[in-house]
Amino acid sequence: MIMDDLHFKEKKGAHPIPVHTVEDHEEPLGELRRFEDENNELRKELELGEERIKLLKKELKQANKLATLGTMGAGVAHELNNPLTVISAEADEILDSIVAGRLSAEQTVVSVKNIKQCAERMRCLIDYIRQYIRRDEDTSWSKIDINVIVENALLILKPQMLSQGIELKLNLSKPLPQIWGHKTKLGSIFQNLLSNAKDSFDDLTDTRNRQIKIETTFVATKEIIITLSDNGCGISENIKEKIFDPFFSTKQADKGTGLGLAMTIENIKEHRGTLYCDSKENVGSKFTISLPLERRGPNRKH
Amino acid sequence: MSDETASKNILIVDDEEIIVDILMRRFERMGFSVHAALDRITAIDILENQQIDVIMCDVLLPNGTDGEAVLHAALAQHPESHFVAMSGNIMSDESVQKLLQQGVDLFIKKPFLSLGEVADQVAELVSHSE
Repeated sequence: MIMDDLHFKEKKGAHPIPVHTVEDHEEPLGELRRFEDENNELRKELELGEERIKLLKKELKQANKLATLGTMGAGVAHELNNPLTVISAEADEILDSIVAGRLSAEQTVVSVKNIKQCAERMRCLIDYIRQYIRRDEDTSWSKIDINVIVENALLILKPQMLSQGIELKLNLSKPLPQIWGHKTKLGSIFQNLLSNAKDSFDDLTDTRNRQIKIETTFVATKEIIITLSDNGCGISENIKEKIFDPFFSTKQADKGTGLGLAMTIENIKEHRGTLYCDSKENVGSKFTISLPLERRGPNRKH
Repeated sequence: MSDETASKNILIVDDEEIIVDILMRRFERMGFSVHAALDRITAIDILENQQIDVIMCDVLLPNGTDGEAVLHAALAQHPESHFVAMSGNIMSDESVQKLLQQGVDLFIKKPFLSLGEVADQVAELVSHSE
């Protein structure tokens, strides 16, 4: 293959360099040309490889978005069904009272206020989901308060945690200086890590006091540190190395796709941050995220 | 209806305060004596100390530990009582079937198609126990 190219170039070149014509005589220029062609060939392969990696990363992002939406789905249904129950039942209350001829202004005010309050809750939730789905279209980077991102992620997860008997301890340092970041990508980091923390209690049968702690701190002038810790099942030694691998999952097929942590790492790297994981089987896990304050564009190379 | 439901004790368990409030209003009007709990611990405490004829309880999330705990307490304390499970989750037919096998008398999906119908169904359960 390489030789063919060489001959072709020799024929077409303005000053063809004979390679095989002189016997017992080293031809340094010919050898150089051969190396150069070999080098070009390798570079082409490398470029193709890089293209392929880019494509796979894009596919991974898309798959992860759908996967997270899937796991969010059940929680979203529950969070929408509850206010919807109130709206529908209060409407029934008003209608039934009218039919029975006992509708009072007092009762109407109570019912309508409840309806309004629940409609507002649903609006907030749908707003959040809309932002989440549109993450790829919305490529804008802006100044962001990490505490707000954490609180938004808890909008769906907190009620699930509480009803599973998990105590949530928040220690958010306020006010935090804003960081330069991508709102939906940052949101997905916490959505993923907190959802894992919640699931870490799923298979536990003991009566431990289930806890998830979230802490945000500002390290002067430089960075924001966020720690998320749980006292759930922890990560066993033999899988610690694999947890960030795409498609590695310890969860059942309908609960996890194994893309959450892979995507989390990608998103943190894009914000020039770091992620440390400290975990002990059956004791719990602690994830420490550090995000720099310095305003720079998204980190595309890593 | 109110003759049959008068002096009957109902326990409503839901973590959503407004839902508890709506059900309380409705059942009180129907003549029930209404007890309410927003969490499992309060619910179990009421079950241990009160005569309860029917329990309406949200089974919460898929793993349903809260609702199950209340169901077990109800079966232990008041085996003759009726248990109505409610859920706003997407539940498979199998999980509903499992609930019914565990001793749940009636499963009601949230949001209710009609509050009046739900109340009538619960009242009918209680009247059949006479």
